[in-house]
Amino acid sequence: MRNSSYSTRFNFGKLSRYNSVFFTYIFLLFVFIIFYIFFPLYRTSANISNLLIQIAPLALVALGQTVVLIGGGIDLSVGSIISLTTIIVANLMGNSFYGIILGLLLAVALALIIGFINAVICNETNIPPLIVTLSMSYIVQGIVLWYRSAPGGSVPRGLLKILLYRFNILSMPIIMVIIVYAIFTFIMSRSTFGLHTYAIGNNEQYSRMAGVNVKKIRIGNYMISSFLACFAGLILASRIGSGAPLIGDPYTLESLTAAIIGGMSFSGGEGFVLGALGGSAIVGMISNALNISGVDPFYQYIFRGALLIIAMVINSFKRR
Amino acid sequence: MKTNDLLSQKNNKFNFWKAVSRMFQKGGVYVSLVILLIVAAIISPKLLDPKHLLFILKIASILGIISIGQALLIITRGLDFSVGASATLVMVLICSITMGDSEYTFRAIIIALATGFLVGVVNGLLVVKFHISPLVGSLGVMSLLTGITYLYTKGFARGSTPEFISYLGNGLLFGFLPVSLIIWLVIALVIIFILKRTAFGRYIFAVGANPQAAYMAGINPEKIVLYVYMISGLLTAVAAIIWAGYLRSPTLVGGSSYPLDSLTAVIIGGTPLAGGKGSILNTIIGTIIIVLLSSLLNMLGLGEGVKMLFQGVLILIMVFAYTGRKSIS
Repeated sequence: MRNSSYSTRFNFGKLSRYNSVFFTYIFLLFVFIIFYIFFPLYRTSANISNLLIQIAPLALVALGQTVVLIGGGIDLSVGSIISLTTIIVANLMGNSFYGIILGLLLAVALALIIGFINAVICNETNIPPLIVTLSMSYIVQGIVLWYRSAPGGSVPRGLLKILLYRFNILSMPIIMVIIVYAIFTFIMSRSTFGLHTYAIGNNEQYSRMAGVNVKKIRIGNYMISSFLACFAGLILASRIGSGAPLIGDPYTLESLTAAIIGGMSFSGGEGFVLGALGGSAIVGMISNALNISGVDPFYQYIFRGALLIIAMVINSFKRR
Repeated sequence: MKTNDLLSQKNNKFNFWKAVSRMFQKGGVYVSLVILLIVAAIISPKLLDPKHLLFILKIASILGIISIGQALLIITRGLDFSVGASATLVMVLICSITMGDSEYTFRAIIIALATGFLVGVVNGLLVVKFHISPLVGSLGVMSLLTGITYLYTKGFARGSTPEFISYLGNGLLFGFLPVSLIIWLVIALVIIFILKRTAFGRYIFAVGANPQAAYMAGINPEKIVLYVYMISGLLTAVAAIIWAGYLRSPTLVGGSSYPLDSLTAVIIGGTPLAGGKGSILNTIIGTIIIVLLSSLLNMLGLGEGVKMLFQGVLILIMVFAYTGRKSIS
């Protein structure tokens, strides 16, 4: 008697659902092969290991952005959270063990609080998420600039040693990225939380009627996003060895670009977190190739804008 | 009968947030201005000197003209975050084309307006033809324009403005009335006339309120939105010309605050982001509030950071006051 088309179970096995992610990785392979052939510098294992470290922060932020996008929101405050974290890491930690632990706790706690506030405002008011997170980014950025208006400080040596530990091509940031992606791929595809996130992204009203605790899920989404932004800030700070009040700024845009290249849309309820990894690898690789080929660094701005627009245009064509 | 009863019951229930929001939409912006003026008078009476107030209005005209364009966009459910980058590009172009030589004034103004127009067309096409979210599309365009500006100037802007353009930005009529203020008011009057008295103005509101319904009524929503983007691009170029005249020499970083400033001005002015409603007059008052506030913060010796913080909080509070709480919980 039961009609299978009315089944409420999510069917993750359908191959067509993976199409967007599949194309992302085909494109990634294509980009990699082209660079491998045309740039001799690219092939060195030093560059590839550097490249992987460069991609790590973006991959983490893009993952958080993807989770929020799946839930039907958007998080524009990630860039300012990254800046905040680098400033805390570089300026508030002493070289002592307890200083480092307290500093890390402070950074993570602040990021979680920011995410929590974002979600609560989205939950309780009619303000669109775009405006909520945009205003939040200005509030956080304002506080950061108020505290330190210029780059400075230094990351404690002990922390650097742990965060930049590398053997061969692999390094600590890359291992962290792999672990985090493994965890979130599992959470988003197999757990109730993931299922409910897809549900509220698809239709908030219906999922509320079906008994999903929309508020709780949204709080989870935004807190994941800001926590991962904080994580990315930590890796970024250890890479540059210092803190800068505006360093996170481009990451807002790049995380959106990476998520969109990874097959996300703004309507929510679809897409896969693994796409964000491919998307950020593409963004990072092209940016790295521009760097080592020695063109004017100002081309980076043009590249960022053009890539975002092209990704969205392709997305809009796919949708028709 | 029963549904009627239910409906009337729902209407009779007093909704506090709705009442506050209605009150705010009517006169919130004027109340805010008066409060700000009183605070300013207490903190530093120098700020309210007529001469200084006219100076503030002179600076405000740049942001004011940009905000009028932004208000038009928001009425049609659009948004443009590239205004700062496009204003910077136009200003750099003016300064480098003329190099202070009055001979090239006309050419520079034409190129400036054409550039602004082109940016508007690109933004409009992205939204209309490719259905890209206005915010993200214009963020991409912003990055693109910043790159073009840096590449064009090689990271170091040079040149200066000719006599006439400096007069537009700095000149005084009758010895006290800033020329830029007059340009601002004339543009505002023209736009208000278009919105209130022409069919095109009514189409703008119709498309913003409900594009589907507008389409059914025989309006082409895509065309209207594209036109609005063009107008907004032109207005940004005009503002950039005045800005160049005011500074007399180019800057590469000054424009980054315009997107949020103009957005805040429009939001404070009570124009909802959902579109279909809005007032140019309130946007003007909103602009004056923003400029007065940043002038006040400057006078207190607080930097850019505190201003950003204030703006973030202000936008949240204002949008909350206009839209209210979620009724479903």
